[in-house]
Amino acid sequence: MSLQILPYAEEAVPAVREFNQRLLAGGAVADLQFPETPHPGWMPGMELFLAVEDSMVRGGYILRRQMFSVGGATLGAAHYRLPLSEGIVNRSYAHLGLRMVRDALSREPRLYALGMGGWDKPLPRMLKRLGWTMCAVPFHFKVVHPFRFLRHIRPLRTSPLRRAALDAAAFTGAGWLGMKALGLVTPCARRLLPCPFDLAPGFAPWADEVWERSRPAYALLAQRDAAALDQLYPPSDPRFLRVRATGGWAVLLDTQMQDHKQFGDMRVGTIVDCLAPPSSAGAIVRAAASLLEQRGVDLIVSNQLHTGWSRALLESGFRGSASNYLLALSPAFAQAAGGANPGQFHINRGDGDGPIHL
Amino acid sequence: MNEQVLSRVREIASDVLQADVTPESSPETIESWDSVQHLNLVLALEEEYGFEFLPEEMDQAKTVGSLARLVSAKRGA
Repeated sequence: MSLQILPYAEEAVPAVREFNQRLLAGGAVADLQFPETPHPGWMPGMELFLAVEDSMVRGGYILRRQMFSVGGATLGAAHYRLPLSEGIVNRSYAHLGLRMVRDALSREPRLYALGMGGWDKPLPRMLKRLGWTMCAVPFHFKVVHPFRFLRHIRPLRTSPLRRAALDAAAFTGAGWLGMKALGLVTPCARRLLPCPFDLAPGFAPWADEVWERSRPAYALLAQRDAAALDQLYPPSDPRFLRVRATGGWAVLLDTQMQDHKQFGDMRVGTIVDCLAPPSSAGAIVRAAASLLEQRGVDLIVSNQLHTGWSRALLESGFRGSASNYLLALSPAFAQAAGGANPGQFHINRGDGDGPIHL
Repeated sequence: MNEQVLSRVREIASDVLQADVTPESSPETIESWDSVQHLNLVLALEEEYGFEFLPEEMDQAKTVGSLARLVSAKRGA
């Protein structure tokens, strides 16, 4: 029997479990696992599909349907997420990656993928070859506590010599000077202009006004009205800090990391999501950074694609760094955006999977 | 199967996979034949012959020989 791609039904759960076990046994990394329920419930609008061959599951992917504002018009699109193929561990299924992308495109021509782990990974290489529009979503960071940053930032502590140098900079009390020597802080990092803000318990209904006022300024952005935001960042979830400042808002996370592969044991503040007209981006970033600094985070990070938000971060003492957080737009989605420069798209960690890894 | 098609498909596969291939060559026998190279091979064949493989056809095409048979059949269709 040939392979079919079918909606994920409850009775397929045992076969999905076996599929996940085969991936693990074949050496796939532990987070490459397909949901062992057809209703994972992370986000609204999700449709799950399985590649089934003789009652065995050989792959799967998720479409998350969303509304977008594209050039001021509203249209539907979908996030192509977690495509997993047995081809990862069994080359007999090397054809399945392409089969699943084409199947997804047949269900929704306007697709996007986000994250993907870096340019060298199979999915972005595949999407690029298929003519998708690709770019990296810039990563920005601001060091608040140099001592803890120098002691815990794992991508920099890659050799005994580097660890010794970073520890010396930290323990001699010359952390800040050390950071400057390493080019990790900018001169204006300590001179943030205060910006008034308050914390909101939820988005409704004031965020609708921000949405309507902001959307014409962006060539492409996912719907961020009050209803969509309250689904993404539920008022019942105490992790999300909703900062309201002049012209817009930001959603923040303040996370105590533990043995994190990049951040070690640092306390990391994240500007997850935000919205305002680009002219107000600076005020929102300053308010968000001020709050996170007051709360005592060691480091603040944010991925922002739009040049206005990127500039606002840099002007607020953040530094840019290499990013492996990639955006890919299918040809139909890119065409709907009228060939606009991706720097005019509003994409951040609130898109795609949402802040599940932060 | 059309021998000219087989010869051309072998050339294209050899070029894409950067390996010597036979009609029996498959992802199991060619080290470089992973999912990305499979995509490159399928797209190269589609560009060469001016058609797109149907989803169910892609499942059948697991060796260079079966790809060539598929191309022959589609060209004859």
